[in-house]
Amino acid sequence: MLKITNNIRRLRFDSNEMTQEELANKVGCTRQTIIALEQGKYVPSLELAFKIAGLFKVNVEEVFQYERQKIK
Amino acid sequence: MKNKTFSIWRIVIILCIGGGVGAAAYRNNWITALAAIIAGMVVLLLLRRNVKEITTDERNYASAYKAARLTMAVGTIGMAVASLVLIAANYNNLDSLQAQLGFILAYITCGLLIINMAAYTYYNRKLSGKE
Repeated sequence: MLKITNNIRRLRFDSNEMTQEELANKVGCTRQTIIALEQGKYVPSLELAFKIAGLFKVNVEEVFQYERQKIK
Repeated sequence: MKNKTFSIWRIVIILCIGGGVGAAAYRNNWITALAAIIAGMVVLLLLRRNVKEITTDERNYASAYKAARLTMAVGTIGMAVASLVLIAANYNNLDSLQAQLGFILAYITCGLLIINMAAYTYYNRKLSGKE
């Protein structure tokens, strides 16, 4: 089973402590979506993923990672 | 206007619409009720245009999509079972109200499934990449 994780929270703090609302406004989504992304409850579309990566000026792989989990 | 402010105004307008419809029902005047509903909808639409924040995004659409799929699954199965029970229970008297309701539910279920099939066919072709 694949699990997608992200570093959005860390990247946000590293970018002059950007708030969730500021990030949401800049990438064109709601604050609730940013919260869901950071909690790992929602996997974004490619478009949103590229927008977030572009905002932080990093590659998508530096923002989102997927790892195969062992089925218990 | 902020989203929170719009939410408050939305509650106020809905209460006003409810009051208008209630007053119209008391006076047995359906035109007033219709006017109250239309006026309320217009005001809500105009207010929503002034909201600067993003209110819906891809996550909301994803939630709506999943909710629609679940509603479709539960709704069609529920109506089909209800239809079956109503018709079977009144098999000796198919002209009864319950049997007729069963037939109506059956036709609605078929209609929904046909619409679902048509929509699926359309989007499947659109996203298939075939020319």
